Amino acid sequence: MLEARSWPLRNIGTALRGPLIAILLGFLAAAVLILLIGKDPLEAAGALWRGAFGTPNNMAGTLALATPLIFSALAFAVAFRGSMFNAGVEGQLIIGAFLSAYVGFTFDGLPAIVHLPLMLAAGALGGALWALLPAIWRVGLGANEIVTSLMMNFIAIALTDYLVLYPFRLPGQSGSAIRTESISPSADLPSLWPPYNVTVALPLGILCVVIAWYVLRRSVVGYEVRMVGSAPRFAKTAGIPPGRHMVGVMMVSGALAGLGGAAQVGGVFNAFVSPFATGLGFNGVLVALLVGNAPLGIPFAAVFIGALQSGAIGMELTTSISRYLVAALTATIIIFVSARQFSGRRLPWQTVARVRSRQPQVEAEVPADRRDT
Amino acid sequence: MEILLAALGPGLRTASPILLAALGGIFTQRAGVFNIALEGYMLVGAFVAVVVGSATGSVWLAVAAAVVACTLLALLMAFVVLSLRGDAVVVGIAVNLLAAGLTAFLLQQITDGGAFLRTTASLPNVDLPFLADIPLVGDLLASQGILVWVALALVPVIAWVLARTSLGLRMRAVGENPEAAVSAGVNVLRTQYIAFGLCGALCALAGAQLALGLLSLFSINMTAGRGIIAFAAVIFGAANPRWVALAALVFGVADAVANRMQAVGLPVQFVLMVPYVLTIAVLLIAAVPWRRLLRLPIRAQTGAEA
Repeated sequence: MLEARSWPLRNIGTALRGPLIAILLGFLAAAVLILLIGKDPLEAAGALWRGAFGTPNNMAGTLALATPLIFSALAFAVAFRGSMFNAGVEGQLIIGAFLSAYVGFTFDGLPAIVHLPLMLAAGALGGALWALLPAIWRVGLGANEIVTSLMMNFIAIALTDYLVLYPFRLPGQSGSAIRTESISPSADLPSLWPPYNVTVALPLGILCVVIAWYVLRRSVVGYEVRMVGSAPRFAKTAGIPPGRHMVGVMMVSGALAGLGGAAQVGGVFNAFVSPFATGLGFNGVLVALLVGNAPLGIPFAAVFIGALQSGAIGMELTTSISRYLVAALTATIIIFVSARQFSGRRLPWQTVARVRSRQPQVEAEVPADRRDT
Repeated sequence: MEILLAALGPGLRTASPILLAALGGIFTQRAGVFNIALEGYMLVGAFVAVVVGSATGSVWLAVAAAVVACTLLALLMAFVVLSLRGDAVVVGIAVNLLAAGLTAFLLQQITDGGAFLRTTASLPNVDLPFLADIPLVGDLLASQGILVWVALALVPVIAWVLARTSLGLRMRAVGENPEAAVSAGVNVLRTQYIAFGLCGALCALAGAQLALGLLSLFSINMTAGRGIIAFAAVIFGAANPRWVALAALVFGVADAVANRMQAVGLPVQFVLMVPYVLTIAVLLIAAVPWRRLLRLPIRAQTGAEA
């Protein structure tokens, strides 16, 4: 019955109900806040809409902001489906971005048809390697991947900061935003909508989404990964090696995050800049959660969040309502979305079991040879 | 070495907000919840403290208001995580974003688009004269902000609460084996709510110390990862107050060393990494099955010494 349940549009109404209620409640809360400071919420909403979609320039801005979110959200969702909580998307994205920028400015004179894939591959490789460490620590030692991947973010930020400030610094710069030298034109992602920053990374992201959906839903590997994620004991009994799948899914997740970083380098900055991508990874987590980690929903949620961010700039200009309101709004929506009470009743003690599963787990993966004694 | 010694006094100052927030994190960690929202609580605490401080001029009102606001925020998060079954890490990320967005939004409304708000209210220093007699480091330690002393005094107090009081016992029971706690008649939800409340109150002190004790201002996203470092200290010290305090002090001194190095133009990034690298290292070392590797007899795992 896998075939019948995997039809993507089935139950879309029920799937959308939770997020839509959450979005509505979030906007209501923001409206109340705007009323409290003595401004007109409807005017703010109009300004937000025009800032996101009002002109071709704004519309392109929305799509450009949504593009990296598709990658980082998909990265989180893929890992989540395979029972890994990848809190390190941000760091993987940054390492991927640096490696792709390195390939971008080091190799000169390559034809674009070679250089572009090489740059994207470098980004994916960097992200995958940065995700590999927490994955093997988890599988090999049982060290909680949430904590280690979260910590790896800040190591990635400090490491790339060092690289940009010292070995790879473009001479003659000062101030707070430091960059490497520019990538060569052959590594520049072509724009689909000149002169705007809407590059081929957007369809590439959507392609990744479709592939991820297909692999997770229709392939044997995807079935096994989902089984490891939803019923780990059953998977083990059925002869599926959970460790190998967890490492694999984490590397795919890191590679997707790294691709997102490469897309930013090749499409937006044309160099590695520091600070890079503040919040892209965490915003990706929010995008994925908005659609319950369903890959096919991610592009829509990414455009929604991208539109909010792009619209916030316009709203600030025309109504002098601070753009930070939108960050608070996004956070409120996610808090409402994650309140599972909307989708069914639970017994109080089930809270306990769930909370407990987030504890540091030392004895989760008992090696087979030890368990038998 | 000279840099390290000179960083000790400032290190205690920079460590104090991290220490206070980490002490709060001990409660939620012991009650079985990964709480990465320490960052958000701290930021809200700093904001409320500065706004109330600059409006009333009273530093004590400012601290009290911060404690009330952060306790409410923590209880709100507890409601979503415990009663509405939200994922603690996800809600934590959202609370951090909410705190950053809301405080920046309100700051810009108050200051007409400004990036910071100054206050004249500041926490008093307290001199402990007998400390000045200690050779070498005495002068550096003797005069510190009052919340530094409060933070240090809270370390044994919290250790005592966890080890000796029925609240502490219930908290550990809930964190380590909730099913057993339920069958022993412990109200799991109430215990976890109390842990969240205490965590919020201590993070409020952390924010107040940062804003009123060290800087006398609030600026957008001024915590800048200190809450995450506090969370790292909780993990590093396995939620044991003494070890957590040690970790917070080490991380604070690292921060102060980084500031000194930056002043003389040395690369600071590898020092900034220290808290995260150490925390991962401790996690991994704790996870290695040493007994099996060293062929020691396997003891029953109690997990009590976590």
